[in-house]
Amino acid sequence: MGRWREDDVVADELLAWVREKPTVSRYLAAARELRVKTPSERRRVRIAMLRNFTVEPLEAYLCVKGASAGIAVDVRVGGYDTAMRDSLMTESWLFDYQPDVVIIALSLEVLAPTFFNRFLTLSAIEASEVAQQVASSIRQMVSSIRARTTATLAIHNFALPGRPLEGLLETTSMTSLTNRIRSLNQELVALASGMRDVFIVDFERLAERAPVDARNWLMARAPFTPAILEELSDVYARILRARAGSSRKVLVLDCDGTIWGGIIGEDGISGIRLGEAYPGSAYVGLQEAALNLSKRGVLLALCSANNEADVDEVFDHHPSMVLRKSDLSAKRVNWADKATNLRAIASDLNVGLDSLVFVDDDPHQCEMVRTMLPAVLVVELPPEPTAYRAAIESLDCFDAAGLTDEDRRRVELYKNAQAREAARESFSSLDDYYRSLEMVAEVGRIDEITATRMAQLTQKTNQFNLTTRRYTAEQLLALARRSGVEILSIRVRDRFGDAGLVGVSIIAPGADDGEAEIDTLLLSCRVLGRGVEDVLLHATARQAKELGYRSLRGTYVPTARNQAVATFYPDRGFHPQAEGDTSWMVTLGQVELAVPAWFATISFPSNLSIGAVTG
Amino acid sequence: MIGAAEEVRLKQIFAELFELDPSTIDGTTSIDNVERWDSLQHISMIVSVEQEFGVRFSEEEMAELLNYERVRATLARKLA
Repeated sequence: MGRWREDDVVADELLAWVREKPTVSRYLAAARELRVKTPSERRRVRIAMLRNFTVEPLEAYLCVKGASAGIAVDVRVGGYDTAMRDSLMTESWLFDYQPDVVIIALSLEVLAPTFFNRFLTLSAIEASEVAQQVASSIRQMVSSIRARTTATLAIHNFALPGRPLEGLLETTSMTSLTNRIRSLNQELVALASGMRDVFIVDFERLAERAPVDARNWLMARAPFTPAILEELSDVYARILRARAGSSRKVLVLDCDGTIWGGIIGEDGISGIRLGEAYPGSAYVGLQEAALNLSKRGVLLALCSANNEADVDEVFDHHPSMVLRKSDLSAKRVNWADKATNLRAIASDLNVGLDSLVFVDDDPHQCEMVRTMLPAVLVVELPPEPTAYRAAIESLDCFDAAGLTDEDRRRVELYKNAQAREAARESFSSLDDYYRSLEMVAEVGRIDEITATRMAQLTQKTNQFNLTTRRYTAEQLLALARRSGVEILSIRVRDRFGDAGLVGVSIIAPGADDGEAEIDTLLLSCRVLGRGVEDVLLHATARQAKELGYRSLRGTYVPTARNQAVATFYPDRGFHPQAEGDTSWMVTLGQVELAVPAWFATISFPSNLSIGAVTG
Repeated sequence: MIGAAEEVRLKQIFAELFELDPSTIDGTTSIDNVERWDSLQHISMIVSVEQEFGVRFSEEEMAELLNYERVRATLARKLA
């Protein structure tokens, strides 16, 4: 085989080459090359596609979009007519493959051809039966896959007919094909909303924006135009990112020209554009979109070159302001450069720069941030303010695998943190300060309800995370059922509020008999530095002993972000096993793993009781 | 006629899709002697050429585009 490009092309160049001209042939060529180039030691995310039509070029798109998100993928595609069999039979390639993600992409036209193509020859009862059969097939597939794998599921919903079959009645009649398919799609929503790690790929909406090509469909059963391939693979990439926890957390807004029109320092509070009528309404639109994001758990911050008093005046007194100061988790209004301010905001909120999204209307500021802080996602607003709202609503970087109570309450949690910081300054000794917080820690076992949040913590926690192993909720629950395994959570609250579930530890059988291994020990950054980690380690050791283990091994797996915990175990009396080793041991019962005295109350799961505080 | 620049672009598509060295692509390159040119890649080739040159092949033409020369000649007719 000849070469189509030089050998030493690196993955980044390859991706840039596709972005420069995103054609089907470039995607295919790049995907082929990426498969060769990805280092084999990095485990690829295994994606299985169950389909009943030609999806093939999509596999290449998925590979390239995955790589762009830093996720190496391996894709396997099932046969045209075997989706049901593959997912229902125990002996099938699907389960041998041990997929991390299963995409179910079924065309109704193939699944139920009479229903889709000759709908009006069916009686209402017949049509209803077919619809029920389709829904039940998908339910069966999903429950079989769920029973045998911990994979994340992405299920395509169904495209509506290209044209109405019954004229005006199509939209009026409950029993028209359009409305039958809509109810079928509703059933999929019901199925997905009752399960963890199941996503619906909105093919209904997608097919309307980028219609199927009838020629390619009939001649090659290949419905996808380049436009659909792009859009569909974007959705898959979003799911991969959400699954990997690589979503962003903070929306940082500029003021002048962004959340209002004009310049507050020159135009004054009565001169800026903000209100019910255009053009002020466009800025209200942006603020409303930002407010909605904050209700999804995205933190809002302000970063503006202005006099702080001018900006405060707008927030306090402008009648059309949608955002309130209380919606903001951080604020830098001063004359320092934006890069410095963004760094300060990241530090205030205890997140990495790669959690920030920066929104500004000024191309120079945007370029400066892109250059100085490449980890920050920069949203340069379009020239027309009427397009601002869409620019914010189109952001696809905030997806979480499941919305938890903590997500919804995150803004409030940060408020509590700020009050706590203020109180800290009034105490002379740190111990006194901690005592004054009246901290309560509750250690519990994983259950169906807490699994989503615990999985989210394994996905998102980078700093205080000894091993940085990522799990989905399904994987955690499956792991917890194994013998010798215990998965613990810790919740913390104090007089300033409830921080919620903030830590996870996983005890697993070690290499030697009688030895337990701490597979995972992590803590959300919002409670760092208050001794919660010692309570969690103490509980982990107690529970390991309870399970009958004699020794406990703790391992540190270094990453770019977790240097702070490099000596966590040796600092607490764990012994090194070998020179330069990054795992340490304690014999249970010999070393005292103390909990800080300033906790008002600590509770453990039922078979654990607080008593002599030894490991 | 098809210009030299267009021919380079066309050969590039074939090279990318079928993993070929562009200099080896000529009138003899066909679905019969290119390993990667199967029915799946065939539809990708057609979509790619259409995407690159902003043309659309008719159903009748589709069935005949089984070698490079045929694709080149059909494209030349469309671009004329």
